[in-house]
Amino acid sequence: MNADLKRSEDMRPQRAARRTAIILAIIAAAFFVLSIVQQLVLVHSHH
Amino acid sequence: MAHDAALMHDDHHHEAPEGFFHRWVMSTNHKDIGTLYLIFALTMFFIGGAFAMGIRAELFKPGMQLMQPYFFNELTTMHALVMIFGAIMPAFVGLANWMVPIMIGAPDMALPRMNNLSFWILPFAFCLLLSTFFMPGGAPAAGWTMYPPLVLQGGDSIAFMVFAIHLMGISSIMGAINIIATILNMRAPGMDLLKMPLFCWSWLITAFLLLAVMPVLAGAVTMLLTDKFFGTSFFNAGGGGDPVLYQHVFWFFGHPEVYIMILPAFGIISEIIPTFARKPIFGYKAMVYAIACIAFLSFIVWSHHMFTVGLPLGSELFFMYATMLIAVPTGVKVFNWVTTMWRGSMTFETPMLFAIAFVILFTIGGFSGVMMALVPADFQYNQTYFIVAHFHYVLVTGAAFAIIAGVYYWLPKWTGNMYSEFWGKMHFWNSAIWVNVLFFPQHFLGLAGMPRRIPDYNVAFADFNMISSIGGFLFGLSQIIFVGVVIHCAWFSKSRAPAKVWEGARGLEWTLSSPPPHHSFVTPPVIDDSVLAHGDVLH
Repeated sequence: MNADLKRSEDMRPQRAARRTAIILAIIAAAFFVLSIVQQLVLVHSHH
Repeated sequence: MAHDAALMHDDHHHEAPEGFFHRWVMSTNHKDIGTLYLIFALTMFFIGGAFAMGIRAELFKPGMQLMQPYFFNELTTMHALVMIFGAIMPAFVGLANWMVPIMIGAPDMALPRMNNLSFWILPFAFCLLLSTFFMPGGAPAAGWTMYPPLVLQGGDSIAFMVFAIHLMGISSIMGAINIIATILNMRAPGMDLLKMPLFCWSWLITAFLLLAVMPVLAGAVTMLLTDKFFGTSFFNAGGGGDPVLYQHVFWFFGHPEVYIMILPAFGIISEIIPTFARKPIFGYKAMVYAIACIAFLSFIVWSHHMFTVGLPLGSELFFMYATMLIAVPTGVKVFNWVTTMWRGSMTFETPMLFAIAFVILFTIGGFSGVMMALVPADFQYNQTYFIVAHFHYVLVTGAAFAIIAGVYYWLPKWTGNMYSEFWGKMHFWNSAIWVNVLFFPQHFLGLAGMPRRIPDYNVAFADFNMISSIGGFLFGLSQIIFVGVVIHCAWFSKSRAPAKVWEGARGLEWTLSSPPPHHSFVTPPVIDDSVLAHGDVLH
């Protein structure tokens, strides 16, 4: 582990930032899935 | 708090790591990663610019001069993809990496390893994208919007393009997550949200936009990929799909994307104008609310890109009025910049010149945007050079000028040296003159009916095209001055920059030395409201 990394890890509020990041990543993934699912629904409903 | 750990930490690593590989490839330092982003963006700016020179050379006079029509289409497509995803967006992320932590008093970005990954994905994405020029069938040539069915008729390069866009999307989403996590969790004690610099506010809101729309783009191109290679029919009318659905999904991404490329520019300009007018920004809270309002409206206007596809009248009216509403918060911002300058003790250093040019020229782009918000008028403007003129005023004299202004503004802080004001002004005047020679005649071409995305045209359009091309070549050449100024400032300038580079500057970044130490705030800064640009905001 390089010195920068070790130092960076020591300095940040790990849990709060990681929790924020995980929540945001889940939101992003949901948008990805929804964009495809709504297309599937729309295309299917046209049949 | 972030700094509790920092205070307890017995630090022995104030200097950057030795060795090129460890310093740059393995970097977790926000300033080094910011520098990498900015160098990458500048490189892409010149690659995308070279494509633009090819386009303008072909359009210099009527008839086919230099290239086959298909190659011309490849150039227009790749020019847009490279400039949007490779130049403008990474440049803003680079500026955010450099400035956001030191503006809010944080020691670094919240997630430094992810920060490293966000950057290092990008060179691979663009190698992949640019390599399609050498593939059988050539590079993607259906325009950056990648509309089916045209894009599906191209060669296998679509798979490379889709994967490259996935990589860029992942990079952008990780960057956005990092910025939000940093601003929400890493602010120094006393740095309330409504005391933050407007650049940080603009990036916080932009990051939420990125988070919401980049996955939608990823979804859209994934469906293109499965339509092309896996037999699905999302956008294939023959299989029960609908190509217009693609346009809806694409522009649900595409319109907020426009604001992703302009909101950070608003933030930069809101930092520069108060500094050189020597007055606090007029209406700080109104500026914050205006950015939030523009971001909200950006989600409900996407169909104004599709007025001519045959929308129901009710939809056209809704999207027309919603689009025109955006002029209100944008007007708030423009008037507040002007009011900040009003009766200020103004000086006109290079960053201020670019900022003033931004306010004037971006507003021209904004006005032509309001013109094409009108449905009946848009039926005339659609697919003409008027559109090309409009979005280049917004993106070149808007976004790119703001990035250049930001670089001149913060370059002495980054390098510890002053740049050459003479050559900075040479760069400004050449850019400001030639960019108008380049793009203003394109309004007339569009109104006269010249279609966009064509390599040849009617002789009636010859004069304005020649003028536009000459402007283009000279604007392109002018940017070499910029590279010269930056290189001179970083390595050869003898003039040292003080901590507070500009007399009227306020904010935490000016309390650090120039250049700042490798690790910015080893101990949390004591927030003195009088030092902050907006510390005493009551209105």
